[in-house]
Amino acid sequence: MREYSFSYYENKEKKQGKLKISDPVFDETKKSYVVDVYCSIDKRSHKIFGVDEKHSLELAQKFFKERYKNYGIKSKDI
Amino acid sequence: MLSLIMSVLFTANIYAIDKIVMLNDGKDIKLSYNDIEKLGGKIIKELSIINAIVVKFPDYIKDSEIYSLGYVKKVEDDLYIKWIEETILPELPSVESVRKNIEERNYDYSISEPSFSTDKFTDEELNEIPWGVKRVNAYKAWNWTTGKDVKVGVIDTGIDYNHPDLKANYAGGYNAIDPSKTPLDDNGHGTHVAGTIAAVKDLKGVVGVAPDVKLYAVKVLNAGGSGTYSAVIDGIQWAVNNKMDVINMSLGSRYGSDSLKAAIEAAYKSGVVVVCAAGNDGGAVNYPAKYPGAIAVSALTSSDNIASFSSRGPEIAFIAPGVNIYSTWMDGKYRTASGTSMASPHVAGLAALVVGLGVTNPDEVKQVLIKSAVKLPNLKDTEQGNGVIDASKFYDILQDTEVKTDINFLNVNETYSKREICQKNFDSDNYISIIQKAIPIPHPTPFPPVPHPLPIPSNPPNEQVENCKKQCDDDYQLLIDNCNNHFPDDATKRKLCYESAMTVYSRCLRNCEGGKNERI
Repeated sequence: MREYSFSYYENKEKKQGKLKISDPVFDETKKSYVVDVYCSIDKRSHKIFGVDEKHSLELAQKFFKERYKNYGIKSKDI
Repeated sequence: MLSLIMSVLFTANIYAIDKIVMLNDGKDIKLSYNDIEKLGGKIIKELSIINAIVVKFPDYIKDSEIYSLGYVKKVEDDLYIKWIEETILPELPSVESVRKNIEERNYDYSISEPSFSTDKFTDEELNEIPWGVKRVNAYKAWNWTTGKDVKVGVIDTGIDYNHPDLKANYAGGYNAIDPSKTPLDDNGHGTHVAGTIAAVKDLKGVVGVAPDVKLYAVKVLNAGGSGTYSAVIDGIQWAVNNKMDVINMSLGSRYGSDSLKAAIEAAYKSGVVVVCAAGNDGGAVNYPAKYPGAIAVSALTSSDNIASFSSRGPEIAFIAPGVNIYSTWMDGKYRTASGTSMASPHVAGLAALVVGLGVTNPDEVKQVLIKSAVKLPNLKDTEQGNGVIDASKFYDILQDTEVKTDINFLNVNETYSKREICQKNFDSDNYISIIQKAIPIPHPTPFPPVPHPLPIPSNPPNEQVENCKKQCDDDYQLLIDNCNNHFPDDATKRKLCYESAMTVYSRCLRNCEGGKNERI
């Protein structure tokens, strides 16, 4: 499990957020590696799939970047 | 002297009623309203993209009085000018007779990359492709992408969105001259430009460079091809706010403007690829093509010379077909026309194809176009820039392109190759369309023209945007399930499928941010 704290903005107010990335786990049914990405901004967990551990983390990275890019999160915080 | 200048300007049908007042960076537009009104000014519209307002002042107010407010960066006359030249759109005897007379080079129409497709073009299919589209080898890129879901804005006289060759790709638009009206073309110029970019591939009429893009009409010029600087900037603003990937501006002026320059820069910085016609006076490159951030295009003849009318200079980025270009016209018609106005949409369409291959940053798009371009030995750099773009090279170029990601919180490699996104040699169909078709979600109908002023998504996104994103989340999971169902035993294909799903997901999120609720 990886856990990151970051600052973001909501209603022009600076807030603290948390991002949790699970270790990639092989999903037997889907024959793929799955990573759980949890973000405190929307309190939702997202399953991101890849064909191997590295791939699943790469896609998780891309996912986070796209999904929460409007919140002013700085890369140095992550 | 002043009266002489005014006399010359009025003779040339150039005049200004309003002023564009650019405020200092950070100055809240709304906070200037009181001061402007105290000077007797009437606010006409906001141009937030450049932190400016369009104001009608009483005749007795001098610019110095406006500057005395202390936070005004620049005051400009909002000139009303003719942006397109009538002489470049001659009336021609008949479409068919002209078409038969169009010079065509003896191109190699065979597909030279057999690993990507075994498709062959039939005579009927080749007849639909205008010479310009063939010259840039656009059809050779169609095995990899036809620009599906890429958003292209045509900032022009509008588009005949009922035209049978454009209707399927039309996705909406905006009329900057009168926001209460639709952006229907009443000149023909914009429809011609639109056809070169995006006419559908249906064995009828013509086919555009990127025949599956989402086409948006941004009407900034009237039936006579004239308009104000503020209307053009308003059109650019609409394109930015609605997340266009590419905009084409087949219009130009010899008169530079700080406000127009700022608008082009803002569009470029927001991630829009801006393609502009160089001009048709044979002299220096016109504005806005001349500005940094714009891709200036000169006009090529079918015998690989620069067209005599084409403007030229160090700002030229590419040369593209611009003489005897057959394309769509208003009222469902077709017409042949010449001008850098016809050259620019070839490059805009090519840029859309590059975006369709997964490259979204304007600088990276331009780099791919530059790498693919071939210089003509008989032309100077000021005439052709980097040369003629060859779309058949896109695949090879992207194979070797490493794209940097800007956050790296997982300690994985900071760069990844575009190779896999483009490798579709295992399946001749478009990959994204395969996974889309298999999902039982109805495709949305093209959304209607967005009202003005546009609801710009704020930070944080509003509830509607968040709900839209949640739909994208759900759809992404369905795409993944679909990948797993399709390719349970082939990790390579499944990997590509996952990548494609993420690309589709990213576009879905972008659409949500553009103010419309469009699912995958």
